[in-house]
Amino acid sequence: MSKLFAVPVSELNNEKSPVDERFGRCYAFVIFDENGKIVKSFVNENRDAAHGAGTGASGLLVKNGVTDAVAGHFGPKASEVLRAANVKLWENISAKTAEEIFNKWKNNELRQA
Amino acid sequence: METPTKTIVVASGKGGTGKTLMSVSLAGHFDSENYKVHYIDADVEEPNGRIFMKPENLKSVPVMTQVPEMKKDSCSGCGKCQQFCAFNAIVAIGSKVMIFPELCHGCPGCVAVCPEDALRMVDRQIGVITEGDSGNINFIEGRLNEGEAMPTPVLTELFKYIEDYPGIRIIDSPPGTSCSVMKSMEEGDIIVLMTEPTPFGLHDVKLASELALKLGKPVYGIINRSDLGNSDEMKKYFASRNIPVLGEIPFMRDVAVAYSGGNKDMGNKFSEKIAEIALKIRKELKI
Amino acid sequence: MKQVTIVSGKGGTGKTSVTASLAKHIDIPVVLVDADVDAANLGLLVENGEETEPEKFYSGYEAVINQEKCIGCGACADACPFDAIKFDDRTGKYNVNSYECEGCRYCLLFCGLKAITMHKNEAGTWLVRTVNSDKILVKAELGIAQDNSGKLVAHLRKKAASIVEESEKDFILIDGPPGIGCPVHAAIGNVDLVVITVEPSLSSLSDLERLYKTANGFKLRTAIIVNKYDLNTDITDKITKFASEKGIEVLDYLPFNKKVPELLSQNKTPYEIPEFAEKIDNIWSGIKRIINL
Repeated sequence: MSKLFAVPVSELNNEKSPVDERFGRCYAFVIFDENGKIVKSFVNENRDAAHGAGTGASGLLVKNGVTDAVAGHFGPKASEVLRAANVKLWENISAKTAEEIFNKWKNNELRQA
Repeated sequence: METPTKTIVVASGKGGTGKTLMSVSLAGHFDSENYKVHYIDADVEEPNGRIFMKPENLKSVPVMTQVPEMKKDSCSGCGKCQQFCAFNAIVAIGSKVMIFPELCHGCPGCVAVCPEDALRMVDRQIGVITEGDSGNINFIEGRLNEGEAMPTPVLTELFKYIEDYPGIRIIDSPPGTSCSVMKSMEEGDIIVLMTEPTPFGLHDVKLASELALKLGKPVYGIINRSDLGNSDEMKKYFASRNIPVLGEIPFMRDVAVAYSGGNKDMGNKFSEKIAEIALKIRKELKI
Repeated sequence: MKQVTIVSGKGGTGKTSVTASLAKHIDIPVVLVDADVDAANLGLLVENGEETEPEKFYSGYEAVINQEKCIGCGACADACPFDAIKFDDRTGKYNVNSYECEGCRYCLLFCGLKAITMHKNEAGTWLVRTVNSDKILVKAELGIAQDNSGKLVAHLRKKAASIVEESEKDFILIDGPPGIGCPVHAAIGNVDLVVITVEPSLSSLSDLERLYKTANGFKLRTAIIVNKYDLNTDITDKITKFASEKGIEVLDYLPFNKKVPELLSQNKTPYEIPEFAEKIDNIWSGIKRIINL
């Protein structure tokens, strides 16, 4: 099964998109396939939600068939949703761009959250 | 003597200005004048009226809201429920849905849009209404369970619960100017705003006054700890909005001490102040 | 970057006065956040400075019925789970009460004429005040009768964090909201220390316990300041005992002093009283020590 890796970003600029510290309220998501190609990117509509931004964002990723996701921190609800959908959660260790964090993931440099 | 039914809402902008102190004291005073009195604690996130009222013979009624649940084990996972929900409370994962009850606002939208009729709404408890006696005073408290985010349904139930209660109803409202406060103010025949003569008190009472006046209610002010700060500025503000000041209560250390220990017997000087205020309220309410 | 939030549970314990006193006498550059958005008072005690234009803040949506399309059938009003849609006698049509509307969109399912649309709900405004190069305040005012979600608080904190990054400051001090709900969670998430101001009353003591539980649940370090401690020394003892049982440090005990409200009324902080100045300095040393600043 091919993997799809989701990165929360604060601006959309392809691989150079700066990574967003937060998950639920990030500006957008960039989704890579295993070869580092960006297969999808979209603005995170949930960031405006008063509550439940985490569940909304998670729901979006699940809908898009994401298998792996990285964030500075996953809230409890987001974790619940993603784990139930068998999405692997990874901890961000201060990479600046989407490209950087993808490479770290690819090279097994990330810790599981 | 039949007491006509009247509701006094005690509110404030800033916390810690003496809402509960005033509500409890007024309740005690009207009771001593043989009115039928109900003390209602509407600060459902942190109800502390019972520390002073010490109610007995308690009985409780749960406050329920509604949340969806799946009728069957699996569904097509189409996600129409997730798409509809404005609160991110339902997520489609594979062949079923995940529900977050604490995010759900209780609208049956997901049930309505599900093309397979796979969902139904069921009851969920989010709080409790407790009633008891505090001497002759009837005590009613609304309480939101810890961890719950939405106080509104508890308030709605609380006010429905006391709808037909005759006599003088004193509602001890939450601080601030949020939705909960507005709901409480709507119940009142008059709104009494507690404040203190500091810049914080002034800033916040302006917000609370604006809200009360917007609701078209008769509004009155009481300045607590009136000798600690700038009372003149406070009175000037009230005058500018045609808000009568029912009383100014100077700081009384023994009152503060009694209050801190949960004691509602505040001594003679304070009781006199309460009597003055209560008389003015009776005049305004025509009772 | 280090962050400290000051909370109290119950109002009136002196949280904002203490925060303002600290803010005035901190010896390092700081970004202040007034997260008490329902009654934003910190700005009244912090020195004036240039302020940005207030920006609107949106949270959630509300339904609006187009009065030309509406034929007054009332299907939406019957359906609304929150009783937020009312008939207007004068026009014969229906209107949504924006204070009651929760933005659920259920009514949209019932209007065959598509007369209902959702509009962004303006929840409040926020701005940044630059006192000087070492002190910046981020504050907001929640609109009247708005629901305080954690969202506005989260937004202010994000703003503060970006200011810290841009301006090379290292410290954020947050004046927290009351209660223990969502807004408090947003104000204390990931901070280095949660300082709880308590007064010696039964109400405040019960709030201390709930706040401690909340902060502990988030695995956050806590410390306590007891304000007006001499109003009830029995309860102050109870607070001290609670702190010792839980291994929480009491940063200091501030006495009740009538001069404090007078000073506040002159837009001065309690720091003007020498005894308080000493204690505030002591509190600040304690905070610095605990968070390794």
